[in-house]
Amino acid sequence: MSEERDANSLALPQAPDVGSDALCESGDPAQQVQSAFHLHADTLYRFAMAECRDAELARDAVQESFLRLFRHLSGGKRVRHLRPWLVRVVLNVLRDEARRSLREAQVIGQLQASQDQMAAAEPSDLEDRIRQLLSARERQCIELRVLGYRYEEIADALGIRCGTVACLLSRAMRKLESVRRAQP
Amino acid sequence: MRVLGKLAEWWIVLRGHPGDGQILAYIEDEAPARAAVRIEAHLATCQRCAGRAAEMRQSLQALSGLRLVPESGEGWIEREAARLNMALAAEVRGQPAHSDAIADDLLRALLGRAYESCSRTRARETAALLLGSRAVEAVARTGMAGGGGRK
Repeated sequence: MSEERDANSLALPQAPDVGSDALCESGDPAQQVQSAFHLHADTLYRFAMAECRDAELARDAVQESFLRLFRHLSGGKRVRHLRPWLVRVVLNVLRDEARRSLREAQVIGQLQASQDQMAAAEPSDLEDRIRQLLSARERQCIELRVLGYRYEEIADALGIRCGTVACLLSRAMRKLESVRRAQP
Repeated sequence: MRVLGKLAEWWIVLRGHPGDGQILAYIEDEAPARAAVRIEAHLATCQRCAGRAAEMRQSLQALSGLRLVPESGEGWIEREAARLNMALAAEVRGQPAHSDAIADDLLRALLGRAYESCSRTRARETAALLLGSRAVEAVARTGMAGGGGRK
Protein backbone atom coordinates (compact mmCIF):
# COMPACT_ATOMS: atom_id res chain seq x y z
CA MET A 1 0.00 0.00 0.00
CA SER A 2 2.69 2.46 0.89
CA GLU A 3 4.54 1.61 -2.32
CA GLU A 4 1.39 2.44 -4.22
CA ARG A 5 1.14 5.66 -2.26
CA ASP A 6 4.71 6.63 -3.11
CA ALA A 7 4.12 5.98 -6.79
CA ASN A 8 1.04 8.16 -6.85
CA SER A 9 2.10 10.97 -4.61
CA LEU A 10 4.57 12.34 -7.15
CA ALA A 11 2.00 13.97 -9.39
CA LEU A 12 2.71 17.42 -8.00
CA PRO A 13 6.15 18.91 -7.33
CA GLN A 14 7.73 17.90 -4.06
CA ALA A 15 8.96 20.48 -1.59
CA PRO A 16 12.67 21.30 -1.99
CA ASP A 17 15.21 20.39 0.68
CA VAL A 18 14.49 21.79 4.10
CA GLY A 19 17.78 23.70 3.89
CA SER A 20 16.46 25.96 1.16
CA ASP A 21 13.86 27.34 3.55
CA ALA A 22 16.59 28.77 5.73
CA LEU A 23 18.66 31.84 4.94
CA CYS A 24 22.34 31.35 4.16
CA GLU A 25 24.69 31.73 7.10
CA SER A 26 26.44 34.81 5.74
CA GLY A 27 26.06 37.78 8.09
CA ASP A 28 25.52 40.30 5.29
CA PRO A 29 21.79 40.90 4.80
CA ALA A 30 22.25 41.96 1.16
CA GLN A 31 24.02 38.72 0.36
CA GLN A 32 21.41 36.70 2.22
CA VAL A 33 18.65 38.41 0.28
CA GLN A 34 20.42 37.86 -3.04
CA SER A 35 20.87 34.14 -2.47
CA ALA A 36 17.27 33.83 -1.24
CA PHE A 37 16.16 35.67 -4.37
CA HIS A 38 17.83 33.13 -6.66
CA LEU A 39 16.20 30.28 -4.74
CA HIS A 40 12.66 31.58 -4.32
CA ALA A 41 11.93 34.52 -6.64
CA ASP A 42 10.73 32.41 -9.54
CA THR A 43 8.17 30.47 -7.48
CA LEU A 44 7.08 33.64 -5.77
CA TYR A 45 6.60 35.46 -9.07
CA ARG A 46 4.53 32.63 -10.50
CA PHE A 47 2.35 32.65 -7.40
CA ALA A 48 1.94 36.43 -7.58
CA MET A 49 1.09 36.19 -11.28
CA ALA A 50 -1.51 33.52 -10.61
CA GLU A 51 -3.01 35.71 -7.90
CA CYS A 52 -3.15 39.08 -9.68
CA ARG A 53 -2.81 38.17 -13.39
CA ASP A 54 -0.71 41.30 -13.89
CA ALA A 55 2.95 40.78 -14.79
CA GLU A 56 4.08 44.26 -13.73
CA LEU A 57 2.31 44.11 -10.41
CA ALA A 58 3.65 40.61 -9.78
CA ARG A 59 7.21 41.76 -10.51
CA ASP A 60 6.83 44.72 -8.17
CA ALA A 61 5.36 42.53 -5.44
CA VAL A 62 8.30 40.13 -5.65
CA GLN A 63 10.83 42.97 -5.59
CA GLU A 64 9.05 44.56 -2.66
CA SER A 65 8.99 41.30 -0.72
CA PHE A 66 12.76 40.90 -1.01
CA LEU A 67 13.36 44.55 -0.12
CA ARG A 68 11.22 44.04 2.97
CA LEU A 69 13.26 40.95 3.75
CA PHE A 70 16.41 43.07 3.50
CA ARG A 71 14.98 45.71 5.85
CA HIS A 72 13.81 43.00 8.22
CA LEU A 73 17.26 41.38 8.35
CA SER A 74 19.04 44.73 8.50
CA GLY A 75 16.99 45.51 11.59
CA GLY A 76 18.56 42.49 13.30
CA LYS A 77 15.40 40.38 13.06
CA ARG A 78 15.32 36.75 11.97
CA VAL A 79 13.06 34.81 9.65
CA ARG A 80 12.35 31.27 10.73
CA HIS A 81 10.50 29.91 7.73
CA LEU A 82 11.46 31.92 4.72
CA ARG A 83 9.17 30.48 2.03
CA PRO A 84 5.88 31.10 3.90
CA TRP A 85 7.21 34.46 5.12
CA LEU A 86 7.80 35.62 1.55
CA VAL A 87 4.37 34.41 0.42
CA ARG A 88 2.77 36.37 3.28
CA VAL A 89 4.58 39.54 2.24
CA VAL A 90 3.62 39.10 -1.43
CA LEU A 91 -0.01 38.62 -0.45
CA ASN A 92 0.10 41.75 1.71
CA VAL A 93 1.65 43.79 -1.09
CA LEU A 94 -0.98 42.57 -3.57
CA ARG A 95 -3.76 43.27 -1.09
CA ASP A 96 -2.47 46.83 -0.47
CA GLU A 97 -2.21 47.40 -4.19
CA ALA A 98 -5.76 46.13 -4.75
CA ARG A 99 -7.05 48.51 -2.08
CA ARG A 100 -5.15 51.43 -3.60
CA SER A 101 -6.45 50.61 -7.09
CA LEU A 102 -9.96 50.50 -5.73
CA ARG A 103 -9.54 53.94 -4.13
CA GLU A 104 -8.28 55.36 -7.41
CA ALA A 105 -11.09 53.69 -9.31
CA GLN A 106 -13.60 55.26 -6.97
CA VAL A 107 -12.14 58.69 -7.71
CA ILE A 108 -12.09 58.19 -11.44
CA GLY A 109 -14.92 55.72 -11.85
CA GLN A 110 -13.43 54.24 -14.99
CA LEU A 111 -11.04 51.56 -13.81
CA GLN A 112 -13.81 49.85 -11.92
CA ALA A 113 -15.89 49.64 -15.06
CA SER A 114 -13.07 47.98 -16.96
CA GLN A 115 -12.46 45.57 -14.06
CA ASP A 116 -16.15 44.68 -14.04
CA GLN A 117 -15.98 44.02 -17.74
CA MET A 118 -13.01 41.72 -17.19
CA ALA A 119 -14.75 39.89 -14.36
CA ALA A 120 -17.89 39.42 -16.40
CA ALA A 121 -15.99 38.01 -19.36
CA GLU A 122 -16.61 34.36 -20.18
CA PRO A 123 -13.83 32.05 -19.03
CA SER A 124 -11.69 31.20 -22.00
CA ASP A 125 -10.42 27.75 -21.08
CA LEU A 126 -10.49 24.94 -18.55
CA GLU A 127 -8.04 26.67 -16.19
CA ASP A 128 -10.16 29.82 -16.08
CA ARG A 129 -13.31 27.81 -15.41
CA ILE A 130 -11.61 26.05 -12.52
CA ARG A 131 -10.31 29.33 -11.11
CA GLN A 132 -13.80 30.81 -11.20
CA LEU A 133 -15.21 27.89 -9.25
CA LEU A 134 -12.64 28.04 -6.47
CA SER A 135 -12.84 30.33 -3.46
CA ALA A 136 -9.88 32.66 -2.89
CA ARG A 137 -8.48 30.42 -0.16
CA GLU A 138 -8.95 27.22 -2.17
CA ARG A 139 -7.25 28.87 -5.12
CA GLN A 140 -4.30 30.02 -3.03
CA CYS A 141 -3.88 26.55 -1.52
CA ILE A 142 -3.95 24.90 -4.94
CA GLU A 143 -1.53 27.43 -6.42
CA LEU A 144 0.95 26.99 -3.61
CA ARG A 145 0.62 23.21 -3.70
CA VAL A 146 1.21 23.19 -7.47
CA LEU A 147 4.34 25.25 -6.81
CA GLY A 148 5.63 22.57 -4.44
CA TYR A 149 4.79 24.04 -1.04
CA ARG A 150 4.10 21.54 1.72
CA TYR A 151 0.87 21.69 3.73
CA GLU A 152 2.70 23.11 6.73
CA GLU A 153 4.18 25.91 4.65
CA ILE A 154 0.82 26.72 3.07
CA ALA A 155 -0.77 26.83 6.52
CA ASP A 156 1.97 29.14 7.77
CA ALA A 157 1.73 31.42 4.72
CA LEU A 158 -2.05 31.76 4.83
CA GLY A 159 -2.39 31.81 8.62
CA ILE A 160 -4.58 28.71 8.79
CA ARG A 161 -4.23 25.21 10.27
CA CYS A 162 -2.71 22.25 8.45
CA GLY A 163 -6.01 20.36 8.63
CA THR A 164 -7.77 23.31 7.03
CA VAL A 165 -5.26 23.25 4.18
CA ALA A 166 -6.07 19.57 3.56
CA CYS A 167 -9.81 20.31 3.65
CA LEU A 168 -9.51 23.28 1.29
CA LEU A 169 -7.39 21.26 -1.10
CA SER A 170 -9.78 18.31 -1.10
CA ARG A 171 -12.71 20.64 -1.68
CA ALA A 172 -10.84 22.22 -4.58
CA MET A 173 -10.10 18.74 -5.94
CA ARG A 174 -13.77 17.90 -5.86
CA LYS A 175 -14.55 21.02 -7.88
CA LEU A 176 -11.77 20.11 -10.26
CA GLU A 177 -13.29 16.67 -10.72
CA SER A 178 -16.71 18.17 -11.45
CA VAL A 179 -15.24 20.45 -14.13
CA ARG A 180 -13.34 17.55 -15.67
CA ARG A 181 -16.47 15.41 -15.73
CA ALA A 182 -18.41 18.19 -17.41
CA GLN A 183 -15.74 18.42 -20.13
CA PRO A 184 -17.02 17.07 -23.46
CA MET B 1 -26.57 22.88 0.14
CA ARG B 2 -23.20 23.74 1.63
CA VAL B 3 -24.47 22.91 5.13
CA LEU B 4 -25.75 19.56 3.87
CA GLY B 5 -22.36 18.85 2.35
CA LYS B 6 -20.68 19.63 5.65
CA LEU B 7 -23.13 17.42 7.54
CA ALA B 8 -22.49 14.58 5.09
CA GLU B 9 -18.75 14.98 5.64
CA TRP B 10 -19.19 14.86 9.41
CA TRP B 11 -21.49 11.85 9.14
CA ILE B 12 -18.78 10.00 7.20
CA VAL B 13 -16.14 10.92 9.79
CA LEU B 14 -18.45 9.93 12.67
CA ARG B 15 -19.00 6.52 11.08
CA GLY B 16 -15.26 5.96 11.24
CA HIS B 17 -14.33 6.80 7.68
CA PRO B 18 -11.58 9.36 7.06
CA GLY B 19 -12.68 12.66 5.51
CA ASP B 20 -11.58 13.74 2.05
CA GLY B 21 -8.98 16.06 3.55
CA GLN B 22 -7.45 13.23 5.55
CA ILE B 23 -7.36 10.91 2.54
CA LEU B 24 -5.72 13.61 0.43
CA ALA B 25 -3.16 14.36 3.14
CA TYR B 26 -2.40 10.63 3.28
CA ILE B 27 -1.97 10.35 -0.50
CA GLU B 28 0.29 13.36 -0.52
CA ASP B 29 2.36 12.01 2.36
CA GLU B 30 1.31 14.95 4.52
CA ALA B 31 -0.70 13.14 7.17
CA PRO B 32 0.85 12.74 10.64
CA ALA B 33 2.48 9.30 11.06
CA ARG B 34 -0.20 7.85 13.37
CA ALA B 35 -3.04 9.07 11.21
CA ALA B 36 -1.31 7.71 8.10
CA VAL B 37 -1.15 4.21 9.63
CA ARG B 38 -4.84 4.39 10.55
CA ILE B 39 -5.90 5.64 7.11
CA GLU B 40 -3.76 3.03 5.35
CA ALA B 41 -5.41 0.25 7.34
CA HIS B 42 -8.84 1.72 6.64
CA LEU B 43 -8.25 2.01 2.89
CA ALA B 44 -7.22 -1.64 2.78
CA THR B 45 -10.64 -2.69 4.08
CA CYS B 46 -13.06 0.00 2.90
CA GLN B 47 -13.93 -0.04 -0.79
CA ARG B 48 -15.75 3.27 -0.70
CA CYS B 49 -12.75 5.14 0.72
CA ALA B 50 -10.29 3.27 -1.49
CA GLY B 51 -12.36 4.36 -4.49
CA ARG B 52 -12.33 7.94 -3.25
CA ALA B 53 -8.55 7.77 -2.84
CA ALA B 54 -8.19 6.48 -6.40
CA GLU B 55 -10.32 9.38 -7.66
CA MET B 56 -8.15 11.83 -5.79
CA ARG B 57 -5.00 10.35 -7.26
CA GLN B 58 -6.49 10.86 -10.71
CA SER B 59 -7.35 14.46 -9.84
CA LEU B 60 -3.80 15.06 -8.64
CA GLN B 61 -2.47 13.73 -11.93
CA ALA B 62 -4.89 15.96 -13.82
CA LEU B 63 -3.91 18.94 -11.69
CA SER B 64 -0.26 18.55 -12.56
CA GLY B 65 -1.22 18.71 -16.25
CA LEU B 66 -3.12 21.99 -15.87
CA ARG B 67 -1.52 25.39 -16.13
CA LEU B 68 -3.11 27.00 -13.08
CA VAL B 69 0.14 28.85 -12.35
CA PRO B 70 1.83 30.70 -15.22
CA GLU B 71 5.50 30.24 -16.12
CA SER B 72 7.92 33.07 -15.47
CA GLY B 73 9.68 33.01 -18.85
CA GLU B 74 13.29 32.80 -19.97
CA GLY B 75 15.82 35.17 -18.42
CA TRP B 76 13.31 36.52 -15.95
CA ILE B 77 15.37 35.76 -12.86
CA GLU B 78 18.53 37.45 -14.23
CA ARG B 79 16.66 40.62 -15.17
CA GLU B 80 14.90 40.80 -11.84
CA ALA B 81 18.08 40.02 -9.90
CA ALA B 82 19.77 42.99 -11.56
CA ARG B 83 16.81 45.17 -10.63
CA LEU B 84 16.90 43.93 -7.06
CA ASN B 85 20.64 44.61 -6.80
CA MET B 86 20.06 48.22 -7.81
CA ALA B 87 17.27 48.55 -5.29
CA LEU B 88 19.41 46.99 -2.56
CA ALA B 89 22.29 49.35 -3.34
CA ALA B 90 19.90 52.28 -3.06
CA GLU B 91 18.55 50.91 0.23
CA VAL B 92 22.08 50.71 1.60
CA ARG B 93 22.65 54.34 0.60
CA GLY B 94 19.37 55.23 2.25
CA GLN B 95 17.75 56.45 -0.99
CA PRO B 96 14.64 55.28 -2.80
CA ALA B 97 15.30 52.62 -5.40
CA HIS B 98 16.82 53.98 -8.62
CA SER B 99 14.03 52.88 -10.92
CA ASP B 100 11.47 54.38 -8.57
CA ALA B 101 13.31 57.70 -8.53
CA ILE B 102 13.38 57.85 -12.35
CA ALA B 103 9.72 56.89 -12.55
CA ASP B 104 8.85 59.60 -10.03
CA ASP B 105 10.72 62.27 -12.03
CA LEU B 106 9.03 61.22 -15.25
CA LEU B 107 5.65 61.17 -13.59
CA ARG B 108 6.10 64.61 -12.12
CA ALA B 109 7.12 66.02 -15.51
CA LEU B 110 4.17 64.35 -17.25
CA LEU B 111 1.69 65.55 -14.70
CA GLY B 112 3.08 69.06 -14.84
CA ARG B 113 2.53 69.17 -18.62
CA ALA B 114 -0.92 67.69 -18.42
CA TYR B 115 -1.86 70.09 -15.64
CA GLU B 116 -0.84 73.14 -17.63
CA SER B 117 -2.51 72.11 -20.86
CA CYS B 118 -5.86 70.76 -19.73
CA SER B 119 -8.26 70.68 -16.83
CA ARG B 120 -7.25 69.40 -13.41
CA THR B 121 -9.77 66.57 -13.51
CA ARG B 122 -8.62 65.47 -16.95
CA ALA B 123 -4.97 65.58 -15.83
CA ARG B 124 -5.78 63.36 -12.86
CA GLU B 125 -7.78 60.93 -14.94
CA THR B 126 -5.07 60.66 -17.58
CA ALA B 127 -2.32 60.19 -15.03
CA ALA B 128 -4.24 57.54 -13.12
CA LEU B 129 -5.14 55.61 -16.24
CA LEU B 130 -1.62 55.75 -17.62
CA LEU B 131 0.32 55.22 -14.47
CA GLY B 132 -2.05 53.34 -12.21
CA SER B 133 -1.17 53.19 -8.59
CA ARG B 134 1.56 55.82 -8.63
CA ALA B 135 -0.78 58.54 -9.79
CA VAL B 136 -2.37 59.39 -6.48
CA GLU B 137 1.00 59.70 -4.73
CA ALA B 138 2.34 61.80 -7.59
CA VAL B 139 -0.66 64.08 -7.52
CA ALA B 140 0.00 64.67 -3.86
CA ARG B 141 3.69 65.36 -4.51
CA THR B 142 3.09 67.85 -7.35
CA GLY B 143 0.71 69.80 -5.16
CA MET B 144 -2.14 69.42 -7.62
CA ALA B 145 -4.58 68.05 -5.12
CA GLY B 146 -5.23 71.44 -3.54
CA GLY B 147 -6.50 73.28 -6.62
CA GLY B 148 -5.20 75.63 -9.33
CA GLY B 149 -4.82 75.05 -13.04
CA ARG B 150 -7.62 75.39 -15.55
CA LYS B 151 -10.95 74.10 -14.40
